[in-house]
Amino acid sequence: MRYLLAITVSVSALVLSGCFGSDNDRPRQQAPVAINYTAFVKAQLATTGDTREPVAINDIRFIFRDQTNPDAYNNVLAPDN
Amino acid sequence: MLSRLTLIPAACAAATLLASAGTMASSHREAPFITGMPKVDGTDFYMFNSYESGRDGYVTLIANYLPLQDAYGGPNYFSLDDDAIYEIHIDNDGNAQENITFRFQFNTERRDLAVDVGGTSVPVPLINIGAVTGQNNDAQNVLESFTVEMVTGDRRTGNVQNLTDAGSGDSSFAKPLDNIGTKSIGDYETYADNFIYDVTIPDCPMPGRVFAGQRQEGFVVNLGEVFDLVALNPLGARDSRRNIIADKNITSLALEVPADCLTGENTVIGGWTTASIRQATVINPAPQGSDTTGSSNAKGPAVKGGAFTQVSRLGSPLVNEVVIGLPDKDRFNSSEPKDDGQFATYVTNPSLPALVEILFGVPAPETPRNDLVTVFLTGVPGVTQLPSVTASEMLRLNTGIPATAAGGQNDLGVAGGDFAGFPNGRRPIDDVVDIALTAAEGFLCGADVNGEAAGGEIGSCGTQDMQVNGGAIVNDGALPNAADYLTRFPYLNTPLPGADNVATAE
Repeated sequence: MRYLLAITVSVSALVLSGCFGSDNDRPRQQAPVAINYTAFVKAQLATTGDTREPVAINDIRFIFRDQTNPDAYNNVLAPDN
Repeated sequence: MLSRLTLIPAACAAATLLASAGTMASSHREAPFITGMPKVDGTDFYMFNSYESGRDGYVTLIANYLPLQDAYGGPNYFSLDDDAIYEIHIDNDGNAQENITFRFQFNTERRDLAVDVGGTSVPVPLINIGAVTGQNNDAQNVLESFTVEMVTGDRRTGNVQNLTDAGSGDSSFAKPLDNIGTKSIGDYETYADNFIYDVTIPDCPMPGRVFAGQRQEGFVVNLGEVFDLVALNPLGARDSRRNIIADKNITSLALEVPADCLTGENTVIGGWTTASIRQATVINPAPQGSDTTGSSNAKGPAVKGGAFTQVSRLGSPLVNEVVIGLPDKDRFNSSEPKDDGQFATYVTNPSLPALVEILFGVPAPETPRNDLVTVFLTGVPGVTQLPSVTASEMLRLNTGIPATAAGGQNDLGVAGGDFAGFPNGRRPIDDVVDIALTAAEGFLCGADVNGEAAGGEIGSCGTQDMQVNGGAIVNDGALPNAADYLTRFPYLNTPLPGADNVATAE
């Protein structure tokens, strides 16, 4: 759980900064936020709630770093998590 | 309000047709994304003043999910999604936002029944291992239950209260097994009746009723030929073809609520159903099993989390099926009525009449289709239109118009002179396909539901202010049969059995 919370914080920071992976030559509002897809999913799982609205993803550029990593989600699949 | 119902016959028909003007069939597998999630695929939404004897003053809401069920679909049959929420929303002030939401959530319990095989206890592969009745489910291996919450205000952040059993006070209700067959469940109608609950509804002085379970598909459509480039005789006899989905079952979430507990300052309400799932999913490559495989402590086949995210939406029949263009169907399913302005082009400039013109040479009515906008997005003046309304797509019902008894209902609804039917809400018997086809071809252009009196203008079709194409009744050749429905709650018929073993059991 601590790991998930950490991920949540880090992803939130990326969203707020809006500059990770962006091109500094372009206007800031046009720069898509780049987020590790795995981290994004883990952040969603960690913030599950019935009163939340879904996260808008149209302005997020997902980076798929774990396409060949079968262990990427081991921590969220662990029986004791 | 009722005094306005002294309509000229043509205008009556026009009113009915209007509400469905952008529609043509129901909503089974209507958008690309939802075809991969049948458990949360809303197929039909019914909302009508209850016509069961002794239920005056009640409104029945039925949301159908999980389309085109073949009754023999074992061994798992057709359970709903425990990780989803199924909702029925009511707007009673015309602002296109929900005032009341009834939220269904399901829970599946697996008993892991086992049999002794050579001294070893081995789990069985079936959901029942013997006959099941309403009083004895010992042989039932999988049990579904559900809760119903009433949310007042915003569907996510509003005040949440449980509906409870009027007798026991329990907030959990059992869902019957699907109709596996007559050997497993000998008298399914009697069995299913055990799962109709009288419920206490928060802030409501009178109890209502709830049922969630399998029913026979109530929608009537010549589905195959309609989608095969309208390969039918649209001006032929209304019963010239067959209802091709008559042998299917469906899963219904049915709720009966006192009308006074749904309405605001007016007798008109708008309703629609949605289904939402968690935004994130991780597939488990080694899911939970049993002690037999040493995996009973593992997680399930998928871990889901995040916010509930809407994936299905249904108000009036057939809107997303034949009105909304293919590129926007998934977007419509995720949308809310308050944002329907984005879809206005599909109503003002509908593609269906243009396609019919291409296929049959029948001239399409002129655009913009103000006739369709009026009834489709704002309600029929004097019938289902609130004094102040935000244009939006939903099913609208005037609870002040008395129900028509089951034996006297006309399947053309208002068009047939039956003002308790579609588009004043929608009952199971209403032939919404024929109504919609007829409206699309211009039956309502220039209609006026008030005759000579003011205030009933439906709207023109471009420069055309009278019926186009001679007011022809266009149909799909599939006709509803009143005998195929119950005359009592939950109104949709007992589901077809997966096996009929009556003959072989002797």
